[in-house]
Amino acid sequence: MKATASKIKSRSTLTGLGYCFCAVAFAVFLLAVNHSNNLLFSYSFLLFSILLVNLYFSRANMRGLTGRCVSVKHAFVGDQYSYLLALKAQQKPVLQVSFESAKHAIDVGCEDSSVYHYPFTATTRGKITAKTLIAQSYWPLGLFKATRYLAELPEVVIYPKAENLAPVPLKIKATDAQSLQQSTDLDTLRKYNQGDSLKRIHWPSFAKNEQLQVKEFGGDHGTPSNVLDYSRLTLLDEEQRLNCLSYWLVDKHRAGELIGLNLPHQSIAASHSEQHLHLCLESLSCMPKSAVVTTGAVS
Amino acid sequence: MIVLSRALLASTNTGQIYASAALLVLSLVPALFVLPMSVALLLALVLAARFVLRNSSAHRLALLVLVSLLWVASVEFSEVRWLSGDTLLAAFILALGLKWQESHSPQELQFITVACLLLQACSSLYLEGLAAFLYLLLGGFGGIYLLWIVTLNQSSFSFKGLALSSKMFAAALPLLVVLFISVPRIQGPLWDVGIVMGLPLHMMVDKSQREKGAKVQLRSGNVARAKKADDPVLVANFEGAVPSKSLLYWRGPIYEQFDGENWQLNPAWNSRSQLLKNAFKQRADLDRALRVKGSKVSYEARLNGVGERWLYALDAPYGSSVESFISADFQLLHINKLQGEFNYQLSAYLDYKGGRELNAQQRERYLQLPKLSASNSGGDSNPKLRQWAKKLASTADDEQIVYEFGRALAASDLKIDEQQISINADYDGMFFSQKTAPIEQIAGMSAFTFRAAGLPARLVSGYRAGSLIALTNFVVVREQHRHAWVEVWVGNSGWQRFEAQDLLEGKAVQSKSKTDTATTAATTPKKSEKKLQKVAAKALDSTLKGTKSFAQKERRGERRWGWLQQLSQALQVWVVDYNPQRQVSLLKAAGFKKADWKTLLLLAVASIAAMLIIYTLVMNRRTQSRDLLSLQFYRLNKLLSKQNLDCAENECPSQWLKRLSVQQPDSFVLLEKMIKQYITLRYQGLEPVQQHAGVLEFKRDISRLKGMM
Repeated sequence: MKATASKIKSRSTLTGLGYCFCAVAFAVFLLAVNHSNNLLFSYSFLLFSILLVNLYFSRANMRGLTGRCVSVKHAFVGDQYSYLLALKAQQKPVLQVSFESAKHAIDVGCEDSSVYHYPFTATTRGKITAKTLIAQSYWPLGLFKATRYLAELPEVVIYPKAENLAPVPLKIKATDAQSLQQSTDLDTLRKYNQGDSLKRIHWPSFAKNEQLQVKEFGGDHGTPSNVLDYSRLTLLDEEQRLNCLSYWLVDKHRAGELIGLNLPHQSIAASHSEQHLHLCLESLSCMPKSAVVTTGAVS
Repeated sequence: MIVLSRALLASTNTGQIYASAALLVLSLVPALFVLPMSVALLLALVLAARFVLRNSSAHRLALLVLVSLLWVASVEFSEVRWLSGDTLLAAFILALGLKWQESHSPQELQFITVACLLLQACSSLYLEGLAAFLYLLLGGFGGIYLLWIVTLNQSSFSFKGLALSSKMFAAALPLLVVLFISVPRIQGPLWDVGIVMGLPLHMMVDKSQREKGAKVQLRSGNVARAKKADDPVLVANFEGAVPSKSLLYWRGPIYEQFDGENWQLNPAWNSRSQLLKNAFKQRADLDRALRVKGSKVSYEARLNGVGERWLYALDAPYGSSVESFISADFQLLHINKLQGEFNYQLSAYLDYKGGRELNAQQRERYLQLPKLSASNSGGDSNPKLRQWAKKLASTADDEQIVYEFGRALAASDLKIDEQQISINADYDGMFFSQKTAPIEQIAGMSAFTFRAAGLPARLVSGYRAGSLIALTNFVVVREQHRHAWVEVWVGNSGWQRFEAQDLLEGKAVQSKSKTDTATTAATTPKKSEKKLQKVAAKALDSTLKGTKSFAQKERRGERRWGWLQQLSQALQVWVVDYNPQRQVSLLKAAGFKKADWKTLLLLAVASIAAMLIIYTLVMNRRTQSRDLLSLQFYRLNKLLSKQNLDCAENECPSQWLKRLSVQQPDSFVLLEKMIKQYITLRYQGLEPVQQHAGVLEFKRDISRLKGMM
């Protein structure tokens, strides 16, 4: 993830303390005017000069800081997730760098990349859209906040909280057998849905009717797979259903079983891989809901 | 690898708390010596409470209530006014102390630190000269240092923090100098703006007080008492820049007769016909009378009359104005006793000498001395002064008499003390033993001495200086500017001003040159400032003060502390006394034809812009020159970027090398050597000598590559 040159922008803004400092410098100036006191004039000019020098120091501090996001792991609601950042100072160490809503500041050396964990707590399921990584520093006196754009942070999916709210279905019903890998007993044909295995397309009927149909098998032999059905969890509310499905998905995946998913508007064919698990969990997290998707920083 | 991690603004440590307490104490020490003792005791109570009380809101509230009640009681039972500056400052100090007592977060300490900077500014008003300057420098440095340790959560003492604070201070100084020199000086109390906008003067005048001020006699303490009032007397709007305030003398009643206790007006002071008869009726008369005239200014004045004729025109008045005339004594007088506001336009020569030739009767009047005094009924009043003056007169001419008396005054220990009011005009006691007196007594003593030495002299009362109003050419003259000075008739020059106050306060000295002997310091400040020091030093061993041993001791002291005195003098001249006039003269010296505040403002903006550019250049140059290896890497990258072979941002050099092996197999061997060389230099932590040699070799290789490409 390369930060293009056009996006590398530095900004410095006065902090609340900076505004207080300005107010004091101005008050000293008024005092000098009122008393026609040259020493106070020089003192107010000294304060203004220090303010300006502080601005230069803070900008110079942030100059040369580069960074990128090395990785980020998707997380379940309630868990912590963090962007792993690689930071580097090009010409001299950059002091007291922190990130918005982060609690700690670090000094970034220029010898090698500093790795920094930028942590968050996942509070609501859904997608955390890609956002910009902006480093900030209050060095040296806290009068200015110097910010610098570093990189784009990738999208993160927050999965529903994995909660064991109902027993995992152990029996495979006849209609679930379509996901059995080695089953050979053809039961019926049904309309092709996106995500169905191409191996199970019934080509003769396609040749005959020019409509894609897939074979459904019956029987209970072969390696079992699980198609977890949202509609079967009738005793739970919507969020609980998702949490429960999330738990089952993880549980089955750990057990090395094939898993599929039936959601109100989406079906995912059974499979077993990390990518497949992510696809299923992502589908769960993206289920429409009324609540707004937000995340909160680690407090 | 996380290099270093610190809690950002999480909590304070004890060192920071103590450091902030130290800054707080430093910020209020000068004020505490002046403010009532009760403030110091209450503050000590507040500070001690931090270590005694528990950190609970109930305890804090109880302390707040207790301190507030005690403070209210202390103000109520003292003579201090509620809205006086001292009361407000005491309130500010106690509020800051209470805030410190309950502070725990860095944000609170930051706030206290910034507030301390304001408190230092207020406290510095109780110090003067070099002491105030050093105090402000120390306070400012302490404030920056404390801000650093609190913001970055450092321990209370850190060399790193001291180094950074020093660096910031050093970087701020050039800008400070530029701002100090070029920013137009706004002077004068801001609350006088209402008067400038046309607010009637009488609305701000306590008439009963002013009417008491119209006196036929000048008694000891009259001026000092009047000075306590703050009522505006007149407002003057100058054409062009306002002259130095010390040059502004607003002429009022002239006292001629001395009865041994008080100075009296001329018996004809209230006779309009007499006054009009002797007045300067034509400008040519004035031109003839003023033998020396310089520094002409024009102005329009607005005066609030309270039953007097005197219009308090600027000395020496020149020109004419409606319903008024210039008297033979250079007073601008109204034809009637003035009631209500009156406007007049006039010019004035700030440097002047002159007057109509004195006839025998006038000379006798201006040489009159009392035969008897109440304090010394057995003989002449003030015999010592008379004797000294006669001795002086026997050996010197008129100009030398004035000079020698000025020198003696400058060398004396006499001090102006407005509280020291004596009923009798015991000038001997005042000059030779008592050593303190109000200004009208000192002026009276000067006039007495001149008369005793045979020089006609008179006492002039009125006002001196005024308050400049910010960003305008207005000067407001108030009762607090009341003043008395002496005019002495010297040889063929005529009347000239003798300013005792400047001599005593060390602001000026008279020139010894025979042609300009009696020109007072106030009228020639540029010439006199440096000469004062010489004369004052010479005068120390004069007969009035010196003995041999004393002089030797003084000389040793001078050698030891000479540099400090020089520093103090330089500060006085270039910082404390730096005023709009000096700014304008600097501008003119720099070749600016139009020298006013607008030019100064433009110059200030241009100077600040120039300074910012210089700062930018310096900062960029320093960061680029810091790491030679990075610079060489930048060169190499730039060279290869022409063929799109440059190292991408955040691309590891080893990854870059792999990419180049595919993209550029032909010259890969060369590039591999250089990039591996860079990796070694950057990451292997070589000895400094090897590192330096390696970087130079890397640099040579890049140059070769450039030649090849």
